[in-house]
Amino acid sequence: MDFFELGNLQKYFGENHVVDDASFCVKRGEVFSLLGPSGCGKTTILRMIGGFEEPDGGKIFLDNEEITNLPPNKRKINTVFQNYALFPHMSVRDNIAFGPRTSGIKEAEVEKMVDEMLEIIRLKDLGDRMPANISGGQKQRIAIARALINKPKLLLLDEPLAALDLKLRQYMLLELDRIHDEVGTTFIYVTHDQGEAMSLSDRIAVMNNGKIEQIGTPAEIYENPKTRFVASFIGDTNFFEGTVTENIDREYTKIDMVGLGEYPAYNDKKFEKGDRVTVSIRPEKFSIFMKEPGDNLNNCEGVVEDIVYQGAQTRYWVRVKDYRINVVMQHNRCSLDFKQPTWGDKVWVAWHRDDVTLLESPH
Amino acid sequence: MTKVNSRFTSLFVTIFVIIFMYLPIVMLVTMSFNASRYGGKWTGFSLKWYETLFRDHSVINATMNTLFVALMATIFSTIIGTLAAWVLNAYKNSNVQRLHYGLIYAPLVVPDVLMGISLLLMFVSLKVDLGLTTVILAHITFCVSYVAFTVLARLQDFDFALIQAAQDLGAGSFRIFIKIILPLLLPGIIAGAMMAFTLSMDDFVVTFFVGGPGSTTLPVKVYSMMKHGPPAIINALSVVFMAVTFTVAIIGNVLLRKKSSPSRAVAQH
Repeated sequence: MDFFELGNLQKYFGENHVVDDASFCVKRGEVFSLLGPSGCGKTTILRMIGGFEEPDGGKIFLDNEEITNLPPNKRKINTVFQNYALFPHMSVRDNIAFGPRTSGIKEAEVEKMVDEMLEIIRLKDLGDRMPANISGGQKQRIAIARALINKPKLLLLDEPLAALDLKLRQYMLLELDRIHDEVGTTFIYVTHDQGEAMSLSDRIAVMNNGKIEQIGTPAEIYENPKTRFVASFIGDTNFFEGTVTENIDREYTKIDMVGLGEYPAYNDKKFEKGDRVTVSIRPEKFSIFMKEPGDNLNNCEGVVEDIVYQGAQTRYWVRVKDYRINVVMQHNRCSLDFKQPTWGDKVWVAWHRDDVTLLESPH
Repeated sequence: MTKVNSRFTSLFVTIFVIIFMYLPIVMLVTMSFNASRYGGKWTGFSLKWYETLFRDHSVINATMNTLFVALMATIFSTIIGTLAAWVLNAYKNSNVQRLHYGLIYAPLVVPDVLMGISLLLMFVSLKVDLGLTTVILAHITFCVSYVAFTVLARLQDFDFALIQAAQDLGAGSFRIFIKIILPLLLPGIIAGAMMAFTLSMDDFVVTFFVGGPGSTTLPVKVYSMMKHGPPAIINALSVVFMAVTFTVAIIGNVLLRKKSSPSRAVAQH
């Protein structure tokens, strides 16, 4: 049995099935993210783990102990709340000391623990301030310290960076990573921001409509999405509908992409001849050529419709028959061995057969 | 030019309002130091009315009654009112609580006379002897509403995530109440208590109806003295009475303002 286990968790709010049979395991010391759009049920799962919401079915295990029905104050779990929920009438020190004092630890020991925590979050000088007089990023770190001082087996973080501006968010992301490295506590992190989840997590569970669609490392989820939703929610992608016309060998298959023609594609999901599939190809997997590329690349001919310069890269929309294909090109001398395409240029959009993800067609 | 004019106007209005409201009180205070028995004409500064006042046992008795009634009414109405506010806030979407809200609200708008008569009717039909007990019960009845609404206003700012945070940190219900809920609601509760105290001290109409032998409070005393005693003593008595009421009211106000500011600031973030 893993360190933390969630088995077939169910939750209804009235008629709404907000959590539909959610199961996952988390290893000790891991950062595990629940990622999904708002309303997908990720926060509800977190609240059930924390004990603030009672599941309508399923079990929760932590460190070989079932905790499904324990009240929040009896779980060795602490939470960093979305809006921090610092106690406004207590100083920073008293906020951090709340947990240890509640569990009856001697005052001298508590003081030492608080000092240690302030050290870890690097806010030694702020101990005597009131929460109203510190910045958002500082509140965030104090909320983390207030939770971690109890040495929880599991730390839950509910959209901890959502209230911060972009610069601070990036900084706090690094801080969170550093704090995790320092304390080694197991984190379960809820977010709707794929960037946050990707950069912080060891593994991610992508959720949609109360269901977990896929669990995997950030790279697995990005490179090898299992469902159409995961492919479109994590990063950008282009979808094409198609039908398997012929299995070339055990790994490759031929797809008739509607309106484009037949192309070979990597087939890891073992689709059979006649299966309808959705083909997902990410923008950066495409390249644009000014003349027809060689036979080893799949390609089709189109016209540049839109160009958006984004500094590190340029985004093109190329019209190919009924499709508007989104292509991202990096700028560097190695890849730009041709003149840059401009509006109305006739170009070839090319991709490698291994860069294709085949998904079950919704139709 | 217009700016100067509007400034002048607002100053004028302010002065007018102040005179309108406080001139009678200033006259009362002045007259209480007047040596003349019947007032009207200033015949010299004197403290003799205060002396007479403090020697009068019935006045001291009435003062003690007033303070005792106010204290009792404050304690009970604060407890009941706070609980009522908590329940009103926690279950604001239930129909029972909507009715409850209406019932708590009613005493704020029901005329005192009506309240006095209805309470008197009730006490009489229940065969309760009129006296201090009935006065206290009556005062609790109308004070509860004021406390409930003051605390309710405070509760509307209350961040209930704090309770979950405290639970999350291992605290049980009792500790949460003592360490989180009470300190955060305290300014509201104190303000409500102060309001209850001053309202109870001031009340004449309801007390007049439900009072009995031995339950004379200061306002009732002042009224009866208007008929018999020398008016100058009443002046002195009124000044003392007013001083006490003002002090309580001011303390209440200061407490409410000082304590409420930090958490308001947080709530806005």
